[in-house]
Amino acid sequence: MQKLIYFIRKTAVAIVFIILEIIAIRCYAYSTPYTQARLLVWSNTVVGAVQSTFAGISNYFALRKENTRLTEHIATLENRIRTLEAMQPEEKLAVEGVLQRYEYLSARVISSTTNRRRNFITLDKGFQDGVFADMAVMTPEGYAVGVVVDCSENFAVAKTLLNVDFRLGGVLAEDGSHGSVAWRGGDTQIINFVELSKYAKVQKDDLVRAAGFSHYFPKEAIIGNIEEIELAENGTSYNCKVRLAADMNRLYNVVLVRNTGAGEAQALEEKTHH
Amino acid sequence: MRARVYIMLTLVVLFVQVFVLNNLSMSPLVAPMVYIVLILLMPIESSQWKMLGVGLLLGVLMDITMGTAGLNTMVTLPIAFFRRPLLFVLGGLSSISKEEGVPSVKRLGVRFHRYFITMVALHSILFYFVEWLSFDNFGTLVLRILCSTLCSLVLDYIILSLFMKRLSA
Repeated sequence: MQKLIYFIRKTAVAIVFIILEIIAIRCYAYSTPYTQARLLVWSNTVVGAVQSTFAGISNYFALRKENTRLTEHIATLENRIRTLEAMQPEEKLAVEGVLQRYEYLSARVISSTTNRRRNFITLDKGFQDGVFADMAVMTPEGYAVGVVVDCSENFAVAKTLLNVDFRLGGVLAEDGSHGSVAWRGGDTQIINFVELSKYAKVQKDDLVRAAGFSHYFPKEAIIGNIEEIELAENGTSYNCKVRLAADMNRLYNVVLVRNTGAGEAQALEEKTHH
Repeated sequence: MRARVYIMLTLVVLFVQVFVLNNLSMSPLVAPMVYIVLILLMPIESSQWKMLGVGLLLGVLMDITMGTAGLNTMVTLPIAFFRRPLLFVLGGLSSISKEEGVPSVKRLGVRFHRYFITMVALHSILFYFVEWLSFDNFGTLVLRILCSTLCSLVLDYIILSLFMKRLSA
């Protein structure tokens, strides 16, 4: 008995180490983007104010560039308004129907990463401001950035396109062929556009937009331009590399988009699957 | 006195890691981590229990602030647990139990650098390998480990130069 107690006392620290290590491995192995976002939301309730101050400082230095960008964007929007105003009543009704499906909200990025395999951004708006999980995150120019995973009262965390766990439906703007957009790590400006039919008429520089069936993004959300085209090993589809339209390293202000009809569509889809 | 310097060191390292390095987006190849310096500079006489406790605390704290859900804890725990034997081997200590104080060039000579560089590199290799967990883009992974280790080492040595004198006093 004494020998056993001596053995346990001698090896207790090693046993505790092994147990803790197993717990950590399990936690990581079973973690999902939601758990990771939950942790970030949690930490931001404590350090969010300081993060926000730091973001404010870096935003200040980028103010001039950001203002130019926004002024250009306002000019583009003004032109679109003029086009809408010139439309026939029946065309107007169709456009208004699409617009009413989406609610827009602006937010500021207070922290972001691009150098990990699973990248997230933290925004300074939470459910108090009307932010919900599954809202799309876009740049003011309409470039896709990511999707909100979780939010607290004052902060929201979104997984970006630069997250290996994130897949999004993409569509070739010219051809209308669908594929799947996913990041495999590495270059932060290049994302993979896979499972694109080999019959698709794809060319370098073609525009890739978010597919309407993704529920998150409006159809006009831009993902990027085709950079490289290569036939998949099985010869039935194309695997393309897309240069991202959004500059993930310089995200200061973003637009959150809520598809008001997404819940209804998803419920209907689930019902049909069952 | 030494406790006060340790508290200062902890605050500075955590501040730099959480508010600066965790948000650094200069290159996908560079993701420096300096928090491991807190484990490496623990007094030589620190027991395994103490090391394990510090490793666990640091790992959990980093997991919460980075949203990595166990990755940092998984990597920091073995570094903390094996610090004692590795310090013995790499630091060239003949009888570790009799040595006291902070590991430093003054105490270990040039072997301190061997200990310090190996431990920082080991931490980076473990972290990025587990994070990647695939042989896809293996070249990028190796480059990422190299760049991040180098960057971490530069920052760690800056921290060392700021605190070592006071810690060794």
